[in-house]
Amino acid sequence: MDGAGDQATSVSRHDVTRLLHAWAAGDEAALQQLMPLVYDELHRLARRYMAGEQPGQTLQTTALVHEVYLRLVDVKNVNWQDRAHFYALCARLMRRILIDFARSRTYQKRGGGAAHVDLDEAATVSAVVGDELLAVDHALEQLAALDSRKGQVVELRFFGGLTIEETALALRVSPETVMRDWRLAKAWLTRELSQEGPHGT
Amino acid sequence: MEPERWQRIEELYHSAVEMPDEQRNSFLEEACRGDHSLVEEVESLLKHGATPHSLLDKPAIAVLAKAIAVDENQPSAPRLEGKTISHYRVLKALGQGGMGMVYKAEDLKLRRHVALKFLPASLARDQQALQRFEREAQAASALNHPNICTVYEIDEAEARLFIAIEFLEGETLKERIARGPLELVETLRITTEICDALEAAHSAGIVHRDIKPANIFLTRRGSVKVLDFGVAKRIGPELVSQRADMAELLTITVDPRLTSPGAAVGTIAYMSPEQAAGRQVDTRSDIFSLGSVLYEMETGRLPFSGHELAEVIRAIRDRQPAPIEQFNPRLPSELSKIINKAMQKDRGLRYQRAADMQGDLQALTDRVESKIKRWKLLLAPAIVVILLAIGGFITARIPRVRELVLGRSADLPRQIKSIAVLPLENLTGDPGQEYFVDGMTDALITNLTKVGSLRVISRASAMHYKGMHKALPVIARELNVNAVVEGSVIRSGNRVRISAQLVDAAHDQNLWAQDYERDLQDVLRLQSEVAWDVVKQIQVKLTPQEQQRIVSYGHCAPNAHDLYLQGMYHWFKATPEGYERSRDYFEQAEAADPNCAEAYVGLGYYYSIAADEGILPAGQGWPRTRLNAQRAVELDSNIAGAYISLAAATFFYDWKFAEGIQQYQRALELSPESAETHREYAIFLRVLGRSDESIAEAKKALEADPFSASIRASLAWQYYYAHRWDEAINQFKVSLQMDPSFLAAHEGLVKCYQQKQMENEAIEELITEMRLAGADDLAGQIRSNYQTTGYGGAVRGLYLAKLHQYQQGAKETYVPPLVFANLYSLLDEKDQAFEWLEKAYQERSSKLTDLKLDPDYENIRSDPRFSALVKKIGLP
Repeated sequence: MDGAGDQATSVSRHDVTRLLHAWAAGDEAALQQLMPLVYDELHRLARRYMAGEQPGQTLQTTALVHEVYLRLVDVKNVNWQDRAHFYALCARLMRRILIDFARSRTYQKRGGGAAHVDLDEAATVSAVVGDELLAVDHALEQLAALDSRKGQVVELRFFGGLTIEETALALRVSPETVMRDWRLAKAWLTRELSQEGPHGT
Repeated sequence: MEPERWQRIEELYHSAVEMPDEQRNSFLEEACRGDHSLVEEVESLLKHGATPHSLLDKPAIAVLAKAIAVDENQPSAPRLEGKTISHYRVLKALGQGGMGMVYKAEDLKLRRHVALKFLPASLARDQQALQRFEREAQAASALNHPNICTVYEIDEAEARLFIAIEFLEGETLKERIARGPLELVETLRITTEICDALEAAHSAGIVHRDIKPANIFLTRRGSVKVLDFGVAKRIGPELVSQRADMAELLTITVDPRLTSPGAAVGTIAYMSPEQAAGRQVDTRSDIFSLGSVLYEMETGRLPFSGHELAEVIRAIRDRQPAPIEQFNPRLPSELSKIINKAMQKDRGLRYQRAADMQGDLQALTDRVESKIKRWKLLLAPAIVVILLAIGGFITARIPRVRELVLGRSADLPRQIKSIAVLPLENLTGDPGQEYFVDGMTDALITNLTKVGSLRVISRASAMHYKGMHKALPVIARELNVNAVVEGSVIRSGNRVRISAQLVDAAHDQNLWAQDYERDLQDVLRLQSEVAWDVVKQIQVKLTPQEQQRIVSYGHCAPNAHDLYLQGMYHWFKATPEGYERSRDYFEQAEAADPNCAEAYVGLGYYYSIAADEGILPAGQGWPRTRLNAQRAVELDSNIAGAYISLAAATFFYDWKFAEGIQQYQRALELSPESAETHREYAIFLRVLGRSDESIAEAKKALEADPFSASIRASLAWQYYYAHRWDEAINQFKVSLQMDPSFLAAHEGLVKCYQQKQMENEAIEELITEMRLAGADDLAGQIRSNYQTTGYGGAVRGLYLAKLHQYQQGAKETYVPPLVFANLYSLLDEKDQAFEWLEKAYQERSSKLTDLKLDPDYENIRSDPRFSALVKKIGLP
């Protein structure tokens, strides 16, 4: 990376880290400022997916998600003791923002009326996925009420995009425990979601 | 729920999930002691845990980003995907059909996939189109036949008229013909099945009127379906039960409102003369068209062609097609008779019913098949007779003659002792699928290496022939094998199709061929099945364990297996970027299916190379190698790669040499014929100072993989550590002929020249190496130093430059201490060298195991601290 580019991103990274801490401290306004940054990344990812449709290119989800974090947050300046906390914070943030986004998409879909026809056409696929994400979010709340650690594991893995080892680090448990929790949580959620049906709200 | 109860559920779940299905029930019944709701709860979790939930398999952000990408990638035409129309949820567009867009959809009532065909909005007000559309639905829905694509219903929703039809996966006969000639038996089977469909349609009073290859569908499961009754005509129920001789009465009049008088509706080339003339058509018109299709299947060309429409129509009416023997003299005369009879201009002379044509086709099929069987029966005794006539002395003196003759026979046991699997061909046409196809090749090779008595050519040498169209006997000679497996892979959606054949290489003669088609879910089973079939053909002696290992296969979720294959694809590139990308894929595979042994084998590979190459400190790399390899072994105890990693961790990190060798035996046992197994083992043996065995082992690796630059270099390195410089130089040179940019081989060559004090050669080679590594400045420096200060000065200058570079690098990132120890030793700075050696020792650097044999430590070898260190490590 050349020096100038690095300079530019580290300024915004610094902002993100600051906003993240502000949000963690209870400042909801900070979230409003964080959202557009995450949306940009989401669209950037989407563009990469589109480019990835070309033959010979494949996409690596884990790498992409990590790239999102690297662009958003100055990971290097987070020390090791804080890293566990940092991961948890990021995952929570991602969950909030992604669910808000999903909600806005499904809202567009259900907007109804002739004026919304175009939006309707444009938002079909992501609206379906949006519905599904909302259903996961809802089911996750119930899981967390039943077993808070499993709820955290899902939040970190699914919404936060963390690997097993990172999740283990964030929760201060062994990777084996994370694997077991993840496995049971997935079974539980799959069951909940299938009971509600794919279109459940 | 009570926390205690939830805890209990969790315990039971984890215990039961490890068990085979049949044990679970009794376990749960016993453990729950009559608490049925508890049993149910755990069972329902087990059930849902087994169905992968696609949404949770990827991080939410990726799911959402992908959905947005799909949205934005859609053309601006109205989108139906994701919508629910009537009781169908539209899933994705399949393509543009003859009459409108076709979508894949899910029937929400019956929970099955269907294809929805929508009448395009532009045609919705076109009465003619509307009628044709409805007619297709009515015609076909009246038919219920395995060879006719089923129409479920016609409906209208949101002002869109659509029909729901059976969802098929496969290809049309048109596409199939374009791919290449069909086998005679295959042609006969397809035509027979179309006859069956036509007989059913005709009996129901329906004439298809547009029989052509594009309307014949070959499903992946191998059945034939007649499609598109869009121009079919219903004749009227009163005529359905007519006898064959009454066929003339089945004549219908082309409805002038539907097809303008004289206009031809079907595709001209396959039309009957009466249809091309715009006259009345009946069931026998379909028979003529089928004759044309059969003609094309066997000859690859149309019976009637021309530059203009009118010319084609004239040919159909007036001319006889060129006899099929002209294009394919090997065809049986019966086939040409069948085609001639079907294609008579006078319909009274054609087959009057599809069933009659089917009868002749069936008789021919039986003859062809029994002929094949007879050949097989006759061939073996004939050869025995010949051998007896020639006399036993020839076979005794010239065993080759015997081998030659036996090799040609179709039924005698084959003497196949060595085999190469050529890269399977990627028939998807999508380079993005290379990793998958290569992965299948790889799996086949790996499976065959489990047979101890069979020499199998390893991956790199097989891959050498990728895209190269050499004659098989030539390839076999180059690889020194007597049999070759070749084939192709198509993957489309959730289906995989493998065609494999076994060829007697010396004679370029097919010994066996088979097509497999499976769900992607079953790909692992499929891989072992193909290998098993090959092994059965070559009739090698198998131990029961070998047999068991070949038929066993892993149980990874298909998406995890797929990610693993992508990981290995990058792994084999053997570049730093390749390794890093492979780790990404292995981690994703693990995330997708935490019970996928392959994912952990891959991670084990990654961490062992990262630890050995000093990308990670030994203490971070090797324990992870072990952890992942152990997980892999727990999940599947038949993967050699996992034992290689385990043994390597014990040997190179724990420095428990005897135990490491012991663990390695399991890898050798599981994969006795793999180049990789032998190559690794050679390194173990060299560290133990057993240089002759090490070289022998490296040669075994080379035999299995003769065209791999890296396997060749590995033999060279064993010579190098045995201080056999000349042989090492030779092997490094061969390696560089295969891959001139192979850095490690250049490095080895430099070291050899240095040992032999071939100063000019050493300097030139060093410059080449530096240039290749992108260090042009260093290369220039070496040259000028050599001119001004001579050999010693140039080499010393290089060591100092490297030292500086690594010192700078160490400020940013991890540099293994042994790198410094090595350079200080070469610079003859003993105290520094020992200081860093001690650090490397503290870290348990794996490369320390070469300390005793490595010529780089010559300067400090006589120091008592050196022998003390060798002793501390425990090197023999």
